[in-house]
Amino acid sequence: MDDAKKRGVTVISSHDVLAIPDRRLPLQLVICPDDDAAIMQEEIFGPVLIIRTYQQIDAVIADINRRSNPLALYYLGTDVAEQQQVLNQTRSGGVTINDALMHAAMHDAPFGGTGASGMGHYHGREGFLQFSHAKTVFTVPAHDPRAEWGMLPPFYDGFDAMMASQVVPD
Amino acid sequence: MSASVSPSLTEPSATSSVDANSALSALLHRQQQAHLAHMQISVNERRERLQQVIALLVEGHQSLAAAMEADFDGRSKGFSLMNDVLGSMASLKHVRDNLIHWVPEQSRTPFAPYDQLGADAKVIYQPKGVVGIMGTWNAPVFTLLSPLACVLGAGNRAILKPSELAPRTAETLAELFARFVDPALVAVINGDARVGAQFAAQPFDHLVFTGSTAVGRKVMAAASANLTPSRWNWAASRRQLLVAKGIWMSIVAVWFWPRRPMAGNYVSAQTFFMFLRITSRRLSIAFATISGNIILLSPVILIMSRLSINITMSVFVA
Repeated sequence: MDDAKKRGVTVISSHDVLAIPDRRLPLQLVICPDDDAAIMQEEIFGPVLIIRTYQQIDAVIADINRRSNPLALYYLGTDVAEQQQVLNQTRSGGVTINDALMHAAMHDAPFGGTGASGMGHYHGREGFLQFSHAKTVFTVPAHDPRAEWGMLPPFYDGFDAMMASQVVPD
Repeated sequence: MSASVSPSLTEPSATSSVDANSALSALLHRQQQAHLAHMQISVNERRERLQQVIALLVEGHQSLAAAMEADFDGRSKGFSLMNDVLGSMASLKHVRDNLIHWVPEQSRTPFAPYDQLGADAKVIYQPKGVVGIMGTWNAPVFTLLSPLACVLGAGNRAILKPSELAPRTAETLAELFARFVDPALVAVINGDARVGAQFAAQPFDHLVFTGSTAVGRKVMAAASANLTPSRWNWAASRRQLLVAKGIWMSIVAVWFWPRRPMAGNYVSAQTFFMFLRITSRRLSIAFATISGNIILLSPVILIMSRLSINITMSVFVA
């Protein structure tokens, strides 16, 4: 925040920071900081919202995709085609449309990040699978004809040709 | 254990950090031993385990909400109940009521020609073991107990590390778990960031961390030394193999014949352990002789056999 103020970026605060002596923080809006401002580079902990403006949604998608994948993306709007474009062209842990945070409360659907925002998930069947080991068990039949067929060492004479004949495109 | 251990862990002295680490190691060992002794957890037992945590929340929701209010310098109790208590409880109840659909093994189709020969293939969903869960300060109960729902539903045990930035909530959780849940099933460890680092470095079977990307990278770096599955698999496979029944000759065959033509570039890449049920002194001696050849091979292997002796002999001569 100091860096932003030093750069002359407009910061709107709900309260005077110094007037609150305990652990509470004011709500703050940071209006259109430059890309190289510290607040654009570092992860934000606290009730700070950066406002950027746009004309074309493509520019927003490009800006999102220039950065690490976020844990959540919130789209607010009723343009269904644009919603779908944002869903298709961005990567995030989860999405809530027309609100914030709600998808994390879905106990029947996985919650987690992707890329820099995390790996794995909990909630739902996907969460159960996350903490289970999916163990494949193969039980061979009582009779294994591979030896009779010459498919085990020592291989029968036509073995190479028989294997090669199966290398087909379909 | 958590109740007696936790208070001392909040002391920021170097001594307590060392104590915390050894207490944590002992606790993890205890849980892992308990898991190895009882790895197949029925649906009913999983439900009953989840219900213990639900009961804990029913009993402790007011004290948790009060602790969160104090930790946040005035967070709404109603919000804490909605976000942390009810949010966790919804996860716990959802898993409790649905896990019967998730637990059963799944049949899979064997590949040709075994699909025509009576082979059987399936996937079984086995508990990983002991899961460490590191929570956040901003949702100090939810980020521990919501993942715990899936962890317990999958048949695991867990150790929780609440955020030290919400210390009253952390302490309340430790007290509640000590009262309501066997620490060999779920325990709470409290302490500062140093304890958190030690926690991430423990050889858990799985580690859950919710927090910033920067700390997440450190957690992953600490965990990478332990989270390779080899240690756990090794111990477990040995246990299973000791009860395996088989004829030693045919076991030798299983390992030798596929490897002979590839010797030199494939076999040497891995090592195998072989465990045989010895039924007589004579077989015991034979095993000792053969093991000299085989144990150069290792990390994880299950050997069960029912191949015939004549296949064995042709291989064994090689």
